Amino acid sequence: MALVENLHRRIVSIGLVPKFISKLSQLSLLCCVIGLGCLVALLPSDGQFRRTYISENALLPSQAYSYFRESEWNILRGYRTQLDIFQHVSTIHDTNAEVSKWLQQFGVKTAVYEDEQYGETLYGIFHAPRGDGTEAMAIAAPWYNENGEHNTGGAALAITLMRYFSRWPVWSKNIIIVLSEDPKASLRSWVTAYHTSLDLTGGSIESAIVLDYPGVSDRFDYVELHYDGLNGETPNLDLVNVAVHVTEHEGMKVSLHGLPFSELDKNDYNSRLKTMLLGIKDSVLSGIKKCYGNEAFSGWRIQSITLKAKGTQGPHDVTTFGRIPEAMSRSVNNLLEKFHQSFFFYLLLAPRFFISIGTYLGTAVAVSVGFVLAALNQILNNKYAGLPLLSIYNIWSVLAFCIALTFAFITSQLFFYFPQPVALLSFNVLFSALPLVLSTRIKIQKPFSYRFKAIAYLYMAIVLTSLLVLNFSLALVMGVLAFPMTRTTTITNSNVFLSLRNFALILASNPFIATWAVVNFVEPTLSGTRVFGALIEAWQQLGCWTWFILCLGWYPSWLLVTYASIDAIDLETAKKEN
Amino acid sequence: MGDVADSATHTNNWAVLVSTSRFWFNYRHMANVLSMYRTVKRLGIPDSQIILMLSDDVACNPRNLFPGSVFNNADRALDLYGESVEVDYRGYEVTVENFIRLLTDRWDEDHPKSKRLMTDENSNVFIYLTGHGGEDFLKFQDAEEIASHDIADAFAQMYAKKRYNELFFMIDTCQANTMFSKFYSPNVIAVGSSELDESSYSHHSDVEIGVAVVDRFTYYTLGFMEEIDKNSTLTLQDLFDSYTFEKVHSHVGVRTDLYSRNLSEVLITDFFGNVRNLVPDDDSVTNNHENDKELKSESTLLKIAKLKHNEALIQNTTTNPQVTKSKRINTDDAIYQGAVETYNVTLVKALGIFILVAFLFLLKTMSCSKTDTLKTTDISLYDEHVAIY
Repeated sequence: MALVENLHRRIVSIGLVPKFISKLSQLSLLCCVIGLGCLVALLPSDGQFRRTYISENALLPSQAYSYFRESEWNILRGYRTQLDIFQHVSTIHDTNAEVSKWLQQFGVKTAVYEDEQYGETLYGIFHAPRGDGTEAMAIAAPWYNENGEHNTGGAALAITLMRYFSRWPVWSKNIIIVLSEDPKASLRSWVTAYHTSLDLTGGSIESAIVLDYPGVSDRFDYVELHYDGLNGETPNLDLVNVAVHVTEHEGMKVSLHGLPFSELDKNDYNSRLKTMLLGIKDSVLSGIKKCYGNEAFSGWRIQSITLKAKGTQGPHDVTTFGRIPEAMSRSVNNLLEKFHQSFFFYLLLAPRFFISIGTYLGTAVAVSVGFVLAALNQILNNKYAGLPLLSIYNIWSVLAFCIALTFAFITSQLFFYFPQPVALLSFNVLFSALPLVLSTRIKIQKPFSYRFKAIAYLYMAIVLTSLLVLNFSLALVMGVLAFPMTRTTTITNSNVFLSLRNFALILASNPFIATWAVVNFVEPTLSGTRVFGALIEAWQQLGCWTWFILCLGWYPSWLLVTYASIDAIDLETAKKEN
Repeated sequence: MGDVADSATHTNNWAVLVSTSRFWFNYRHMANVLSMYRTVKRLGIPDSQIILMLSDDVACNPRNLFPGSVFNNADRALDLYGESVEVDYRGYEVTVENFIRLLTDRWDEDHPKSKRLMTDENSNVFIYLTGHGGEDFLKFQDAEEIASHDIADAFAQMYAKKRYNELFFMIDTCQANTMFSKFYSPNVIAVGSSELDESSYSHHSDVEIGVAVVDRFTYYTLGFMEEIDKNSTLTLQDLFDSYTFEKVHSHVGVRTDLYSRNLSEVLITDFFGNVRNLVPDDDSVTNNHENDKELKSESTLLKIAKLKHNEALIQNTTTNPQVTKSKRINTDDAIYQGAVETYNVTLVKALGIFILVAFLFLLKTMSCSKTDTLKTTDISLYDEHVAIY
């Protein structure tokens, strides 16, 4: 205790606490800078990340020899030729009927799931001859991929693989083939139906591999791996590791987050930083931007990835591509339990390098601590610090927060019925300009200004801290984008410069404006105001709750801060005027 | 070498073989222990004196490409699970408690005799363990662990209860040598696959089955064992000398300080083989201890043991041809040269027929005038006979 007492005396004697309080504003900024700095400068540098490893002993990737080779080539080619013709001459309904017959030929039970809105999905279950039938592995191939290309190769491959698998006696889990219309809504709709209403089921799905091989080319250059799930979920790192291991074992190169072929061999700070930032971007926008198919399985305790063949002239042939799902299925087949080892949350810096959640979580924590300090700053660093807890100012600010929350909620719901992004953005720009326009006409009492902000920052901090474990990327990006709002100042004497500065900060930290600006900057496929439509779609089709986090987690705080930025007058002067 | 044989004082042999792990990917541990089982059985210990504990979830696992078979080599020349494998403790019965109870023979009276280790002070016991372990512990089926102290104490109890004459402890697991570091009972000799902080490695994988099929230490132990037969004069020292780091990829440890005999005088068959030459005279045993009650009961035990022993002999003679039934030739100089016949069966048959024909021809020429009937003898009958033999 003596040590603690000494420490306490020392703190008191050098006046650390008052100093700390007086510097809260700077400390808050420092926190955000440290958080962001760590992420960008520290995490991708040597010594901060680890090499990936297979944590689950049972997986044994590539331990069994893969036989999906030339012997299957002609079969694959046959199916592919047929599918290529179907694509032009028949409807998906007829194609499904025909493919269903093929699948039944080698003992796969098939059924068609019909969704009125998103089209029909053909799926078939190959029951493991010696398995207990309680678990399954899924292989999916949407007829059209995320770019609208016909996934001829992928679908043919999936069918050939099923045929090939049916000849092996080694399966302990059922194998499900899913041929949906697209990799987004219709696949998701099937996954939901599988877990709720379908009659023909094959047990709980442990893993899903989505095959994307557009066109009829026999050759390809490299494999693109997509793993980001919805709402910040990622598949178990073991599955990703198995995919990477198998792919590289078969001599192909793996690209993460769409990195071009020329950059795949790089392993330096820049390449790792790029991969990490792209990973954060893909994670935040997962489900909102183009869907590759693995997103559709997310959220049902299914570990899923998408394998996409890139290029048409490369050295590898389509059976090599088929060996990846083959070897992966053999690995997953070895599992006795669900994926439970390894990491469920991670950032990949390269196919073989990762940062675990314990290392990177601190960055988002630092940002949310920044908000807490900003809130404290608003409470302590003014002469209204001594106001009682139940003073009218506190009660009013809580009430105002409730109003802001209600308003935000109404906005979020209204947008479903009137999806007018331009109107939304203009309204928010106008609202940002409100303090500037009102300038001296209407003033608010100064304590309100402080308390409103305090509540706003505190709410933001709560939202971020609860979000950061679930959806690290979104929490971090949201925290950083919303951070400018903590730098707004309370103005009393109509300072034009400060008003303009406030306006800029508020404008920059508006959830919709910031989202719109950033997405336009980083994701060309969501240019213009398309992102808002995509957000709504992601919720309606996939159940991705980013829209609501923006509206309910971020927007109320912003509304409060904007209101609090209206010119304020001191209590004393207000009384005098009265 | 006559001296060597004389130095042994035991009258019966027992083996306890345990695979402590479960799950498909631990295939190699099952293969290890089944290979060991096959070896001790081949060298003459009967099933009744082998206690085999294994999870037994591999042979009929849906993941097994060869249902009902377990192999310990990628050449798959020898199906370890093929014929008459008697598993005494199976699946969830393989527990630390059962293992300790087995060693110390603390069972309730209903426990079947076939599942008991009915050894006495004249028994040489071979104990083989394989699985996943660490410093001073060995995992049992991913559920519990046995500590090196537990085994040491169990051995002490065995010694106090006169349950062994000599004990040979062999263990193949990571950091195996720690497992016998706590032993303190006399006449125990121990060998382990790897020292502290050292892993034990698998030897090779079968790319069809998709798992590693045998561990290095066991692989080379088996390799050595295949070269010996029931009247081999190779000693434990020869076995221990055969382990090199180049082969095993870990430092094999041998503990001899509890053991009084010189290792180069201890026959391998003292532990691995059944002894038939050393059965003491029936009369001398009974006459000497007629009045001593305790020893009398012991002598009945001896009788039982002998009966069992005789049974074993009978079994032995019946099982022996089975072991050498395989017709495959082991082309690469893998370890199973002894297991698989190294001569061509058809060639032998042909030779036999030739000799028979020659013999008949000789008979015929010698007594052609007397035995005309021989001409009608069906040669194929002889052929069949040879085939059966």
